Formats: sequence, structure tokens, C-alpha cells
Amino acid sequence: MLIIKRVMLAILFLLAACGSKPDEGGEGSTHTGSGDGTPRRGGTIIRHLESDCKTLNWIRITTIYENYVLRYLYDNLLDYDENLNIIPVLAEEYEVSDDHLRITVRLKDDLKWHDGMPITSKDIRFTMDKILDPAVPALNKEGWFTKLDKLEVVDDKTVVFVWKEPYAPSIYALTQFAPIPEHVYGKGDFLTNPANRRPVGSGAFRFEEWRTSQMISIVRNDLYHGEKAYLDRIIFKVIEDRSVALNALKAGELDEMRVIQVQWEEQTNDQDFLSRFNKYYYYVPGYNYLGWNCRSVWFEDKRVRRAMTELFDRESINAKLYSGYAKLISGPFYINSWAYDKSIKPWPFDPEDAKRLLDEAGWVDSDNDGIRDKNGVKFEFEFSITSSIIAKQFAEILQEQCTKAGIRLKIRMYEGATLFDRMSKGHFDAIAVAWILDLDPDIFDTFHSSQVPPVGLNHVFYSNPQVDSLLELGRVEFDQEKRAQIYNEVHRLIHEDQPYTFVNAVPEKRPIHKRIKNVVISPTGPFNFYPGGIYWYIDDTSQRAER
Amino acid sequence: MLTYTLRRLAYLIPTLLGITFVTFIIISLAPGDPVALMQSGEMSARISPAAYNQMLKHYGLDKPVHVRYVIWLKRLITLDFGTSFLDDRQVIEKILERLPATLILNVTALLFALLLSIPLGLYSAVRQYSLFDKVNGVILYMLYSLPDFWVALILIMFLGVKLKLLPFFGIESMNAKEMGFFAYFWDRILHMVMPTFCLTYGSLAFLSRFVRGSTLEVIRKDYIRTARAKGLEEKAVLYKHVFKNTLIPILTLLGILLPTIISGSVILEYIFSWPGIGALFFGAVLSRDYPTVMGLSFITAVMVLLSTLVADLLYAWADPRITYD
Repeated sequence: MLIIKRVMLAILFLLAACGSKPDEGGEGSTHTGSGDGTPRRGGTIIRHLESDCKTLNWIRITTIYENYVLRYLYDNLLDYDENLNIIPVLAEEYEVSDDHLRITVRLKDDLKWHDGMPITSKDIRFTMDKILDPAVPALNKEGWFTKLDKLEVVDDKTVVFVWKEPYAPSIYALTQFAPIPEHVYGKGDFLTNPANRRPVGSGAFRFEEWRTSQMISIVRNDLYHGEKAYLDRIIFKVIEDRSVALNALKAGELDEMRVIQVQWEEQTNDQDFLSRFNKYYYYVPGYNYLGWNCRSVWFEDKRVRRAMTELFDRESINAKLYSGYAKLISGPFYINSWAYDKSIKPWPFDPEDAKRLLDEAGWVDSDNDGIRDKNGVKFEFEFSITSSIIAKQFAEILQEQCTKAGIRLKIRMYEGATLFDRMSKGHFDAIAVAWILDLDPDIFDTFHSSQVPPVGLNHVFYSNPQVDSLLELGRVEFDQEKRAQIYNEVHRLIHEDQPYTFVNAVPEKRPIHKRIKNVVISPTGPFNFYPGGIYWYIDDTSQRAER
Repeated sequence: MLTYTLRRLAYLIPTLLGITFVTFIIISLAPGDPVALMQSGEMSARISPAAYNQMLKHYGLDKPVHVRYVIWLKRLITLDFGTSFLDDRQVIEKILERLPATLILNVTALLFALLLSIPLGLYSAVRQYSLFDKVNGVILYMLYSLPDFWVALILIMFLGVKLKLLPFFGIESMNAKEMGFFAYFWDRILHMVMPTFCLTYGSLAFLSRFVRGSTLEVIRKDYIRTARAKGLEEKAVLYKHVFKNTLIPILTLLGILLPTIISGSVILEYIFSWPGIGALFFGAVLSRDYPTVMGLSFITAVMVLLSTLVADLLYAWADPRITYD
């Protein structure tokens, strides 16, 4: 499935929604089922992998599936806790200098790799060298450290990350940084190192076995620096087909999986299922949007873009396609982030006002052919989407309103890779896609006018000098409250300009077997924080259907 | 015969060149960029333009298509298919890793299809318009028109989930390593039942109707009438004269069917989580992993050309009227 860059091209996942009434989850973290309070040791749980991993080299990962596995195998220097506060993990402590240019990190005592060798600053240096090595594709990591000047090794346990300029996301970068062992990866060719498929890590679980396209298993690491995990083993089973995976879940061959809308609504609500599974939903950072090419003759005027938003009935889409689960949004930030200004309400669905705005912008039907025009150009544009069902529904709903408003919208469907290619080059009039966001609210890459194709991700060619300077400011402001003010202002300006029609944030939906205890759902879900799923344990093995 | 074979083998080279060239051009011209696509996967990724260009260079994508083709060809001469863009593993290693799974499934399915369809077809032809012929025809056509992915899902739901009779994904159980030899063997067989069935039933109809058709044609030939007229037993007529001659068109068919045993079935492998070639090929196309796509296309092309050659040679063996000298 295609989910691209901080992006997901495919509406496939993000847009696919869920239904029925909220069970649990939502904002803030949720703890469930701590059993009788005493975690039991032992047992195996089976997680679902929607697609096999390509590599288990931590630096080279590109997919969420690899992240699912490596979250257990590697600890980051810093990480987010369940309430999205930054905490040290491999680091004992960290200190930011007054000029914000130097972050000193001291490692915990007695850290060991899975093979028993000590974890030292040298490994950190080695890892950073590899991330920044031009010959090593480190797509998911490299971007965080382009503003790094150098890494100073002070002693065996202390390093200083020295930045070229003050860079507010620099702390966030360290939550994305886990060292890899030099004594393993330093030998031979890095890209084809056997350890890419047999990693030696630092996390609470260590690698056991990988059967390509079938399964990956990991076992508890008894050398772990923190409290040891309770489970003996976690198996990741690769099942690409979602309906087969759901059948496997029901047959007791999986303990958890991410489900799609119809599965959540129609196939997982029977008594038997509910008696065996807890159903969780939570909002991962990201949103769906319609992008308007601000350089095209139709969408260069912000009144037209706002009119398009007002023609798009997001409320009824939410009700019809998402059973009310999706959250309407008004701006480009993660809805659970301090950067998102909840006081800014989305533009309403208002076709009459949209027509007024179009008239005002000079788009009127001067030749009475039912289609608006301006300076001899007809309002006829292409709406580019993938072939996913939800994208089609988006397009059709918008098309209907456009026709009524005197605009001809032509739906163009592309295969995922093709659409992504056109998107990143800015070759489209309008597009329906989605972004996956980081927890740090820096959206310089997507909205700064210097980041238009082919440089960055501002593929709608949005340009507002005020937003530009605020985004520059947001990168160098370290005080969270002041930063929040900056980004709230960005939110307001972008809301006014509507380079995107912000559609919604759609929850991820995940049933987890009730035999699993100590499941903590952070605002971003059960895995993407520390300790994530490390301390899950099994309360009652007998509940699981045996084959 | 030998000169003919050699000549045919020599023809293989320009044909393969043509096939690979066209495939290479088409896949390279298809929109989408493997480096950009690597950022897929619901992960945040911030790639700088410099890094992006570096990666294009790393994978040799900065050169024009025809240059890349020549480089690919040069490597191929030493049987080096290059490394996959996705994980930097050798393409040949990735293919060999998955080949056994696909082979065992497809060979079994093909054998079943042939073993069932030939007798069914023969019998239908001999008893043309009998009740058996009609019922057989109807049933086979019904099966033929059921889409395999649908049947697969229905089977999974009933045999796998409801009745828990058969495992429905993967090639072996998770605890396969701990099993004894026979338990393991049995486990593998159980895992094959549903995918094999789904692969077989569709081609069954097609094959057995084919056999029936060609048998009917043979049965009406003069030499069969002659055989009967000179008082040969019906059995002898059927086995010696009819059957042998019906085999000839089946050989052509084999030429077509043989290559499919390595190309894998994308949909069924996907549904049954079968770690085979089909899944590899599909994934490679979606992510524009050119070396893997080219490696697989090349092998398939070779298989197709060789099977046609073998089929042609078998003709000469089966039919004395044909010689290649």
C-alpha cells in the first residue's frame, strides 16, 4: 500500500475509517486491563505484519512494518512517553546549551548490546556517520540531521550533538535516534551486511528468526537495561490480505491487527468477537486533504480555494464514510498537538457562499454555457486521485457540488506510484491525498515557499511571506509556549489561505486480544512511544483458541 | 534434429534481447520513481534533494535508459541480475529463496490438473452427449467461471475459520521447526490443500475441454475407422490409436503451461500468504524495483522460449510425420 514520505499517498489507509460507537481510546492515554496487578511472565503473542519487512537495519527502515518490529529491538536515546513528553531512554540525561547549539547526552551505565558488548559513544558516532554517509540511503533518519554540524565524543558515555544553527526540532531528532553497534555493522559492506537481516540491538527484545514473507520472531532480552519484558516471545506474522488477516485474528492465529472500516463496523461486533477482543481507536498524526495547485489559473485566488472547501461537504462525508469517527480539521497540525489551535473552526459546507466567492473572484458564466469562466478560460479542472474507493467517493461528492456551482471537475485516476510522481513534481490541478505527520510541528517542508517542487514537499506551490517568516521563526524558537503561539498563527493564516481543503483526521482502529494486559494507548496509539508494547503480558493463556 | 535444435537455440539470443529491451524500456518509462517510492510506508521521512540525487546515483538511475540497459545486459552476461533497490540483496538470492514455494505449489497444481483433466476429457469424448459428458461439462464450466480469489476467501472462511479443518495462510505452521519429520510433512501438505485446489479447478475445465475436443477430432479420423474395421478391440483403439494422437495438441499446451509453474499466481499467493514468486514480482512492480522485475521477466522469458522449443521437439518425437531435418 502506498503511503509516502510524511505523506501517505494513499488514501488507502488513512482515509479508510471506522464506525459504530467509540469504545475506548481518543485523547489522552488509556490503560486497560492490568489484570490483578501482578504481571505474569512468559508466553508468546502474535502480532500482525501487513507486509514483510525489507530490512531490519535500523538506519535504513522506510516502512511502518519495520518500525513495528524494531521498536522492540532498539531503544532511542530519547523518546516520547505515553503523554507525549520527551523522556530519556538509553540516555541517562541530556542537556541543551543556552544557545541551543549543543545537546549533551550521557548514556546510562552498563548498557549492553544483545550480544553482551557494551554500548558506548563510539556506537553513537558510528551510527551518526552512517546516517550522514551519502552512500547510505537513510531516508527516514537523514533528514533529521542535515542541520547537525558535528558529533563530539567526550568520553565513553558522553556525546555532544553540535548543531550548525539553532533548530527547535533538534530534540525531536534525538527521539528518532537509536545507536546501532559498530562492532557488528562496522565489518564489511554496510548495505549488504548480514546483520541487516539478523539485527543486534539494544531493546527489550532481541532478534530470533526471520522467514522471508512469512514471519519474524523476537525473544525477551535478559540483558535489558530497564525492567525486563514479561513476554517470552513476540511473533510477527506476515499476512498481506486484510480479510485473511481478520480471519486469522478470529481463528486465534493473531492477537492484534489494524482493521479497516467495514471490518470495524460489520465484522468485529458479534458477541464472540467482543468477548475476546478489546477494540481501540486512536488518532495517529496525519490528515487527509485536497490540495489545490496555487499556480494554476483556477486556484491562484484564495477565494476560489475557499469556495472549493465550502463546496466539499466534509460533515456528511464524515457521517457517511466514517460513521462519525473522523475528526474534521481546520489546519495542518496533528490534532492532539499543542500546535493545533482548536479555536479555529473548519469552513462550513456552504454552496451559496461558495458561489458568491467565485463571483467575487471573477469566475462567472459569461457565455451562458453552464460553466463559469474568466478571461476566456473555462473553470474546468482535473481532480487527481488514486483508485481507492474512498478517494473515488471524495471525488464524486465534490464533483456533484461543483457541477451545481458551474464548475466542471474531471476525475483522473492514477496508479499510486504515478500519482505520487505527479504530486511531487506539482503536475496536477487538484489532488486528494494525505500526510503522515511528525510529533514536532515543524511544517517548513510542506508550506514554506522555498520548498516548492522539485526542492521540497510544497507541491501546491503555496506562498505567503507571513507564513514563511513564521515557519522560519518556529524552527528557532525553543520555548514551547512561544512556539505554540507561532504555530497557532500559522494555523490561522493557512486556514485563511486554504491552499488545502483540510478534510479530516481518521483514527487507526485496532482490536487487541483481551488476554493481553497492560496495553497502554497513548494519543498516537499503543506502539509509538516508550515503552509502547514492551511490557504487555498475558493474563490467561486458555482464552486463546488453539489449533 | 541436432542442427535444428542448435538453430533454435541460436534464435533464442536475439529474441531474448528483444524481449528484455522492450521490458526494460517499458518499466523504466512507467511513471513513478523507485527512490521517491522508498519513502512509502506511513513513516515520516525527510529526504533532502541532495540525498535524493545521491540515491539516484547509488542505484544508477541518473543515467539515461539505454545506458542503464547496456549496463544491465553486461551484468547479465555473467548471470548477475544486480541488487534489489528495496533491500540491497542480490536479486538472484531473492528469487531462489522464493522459487521452491512457488514451484511446489504450481507443479502440484499442474500435475493434478493434467491427471484429472486427461481422463475426464477422454471419457467425455468417448461418451459424447452422454449424461456424464453433459454433467461434467456443466460442472467444469461452473467451476471455470468462479473467480479463484473469491473461492479462496470462501474456503478460508469455512474450512479455515468456521470448521478449523485446514490452515489457511503461509507454507507451514509457526512451530514447524519443532515438528518431527512426518508431522512436518503432513503440516506442509495441509497448508497446500486450499491453494492447490484454487489453482487447479480453473485450469481443469479448460484442459479437459481441450482434451475432449482434440479427442473428438481424432476419433473421427479415417485411421480410427480403419482400426475398428479391422476388428481391433475398442480398448486397443482408444489407448493405442486415439490417445496417442490426442497427446500431440496437449504437448503444445504444455509449452504454454510450463512457464507458469515458475511465474507464480499473484492473487492466490497474496491471499494465502504464500511466500512465492508472484508476491515478489507484484511487490517489485509496485515499488518500481527494476532489477527484480527485470530478473524475473528474464527468467520467465527464458522459460517460455525453452518450453516452446521443448514442445516443438516433442512433436517430432510424438508424431513421426514431423521431422526437423
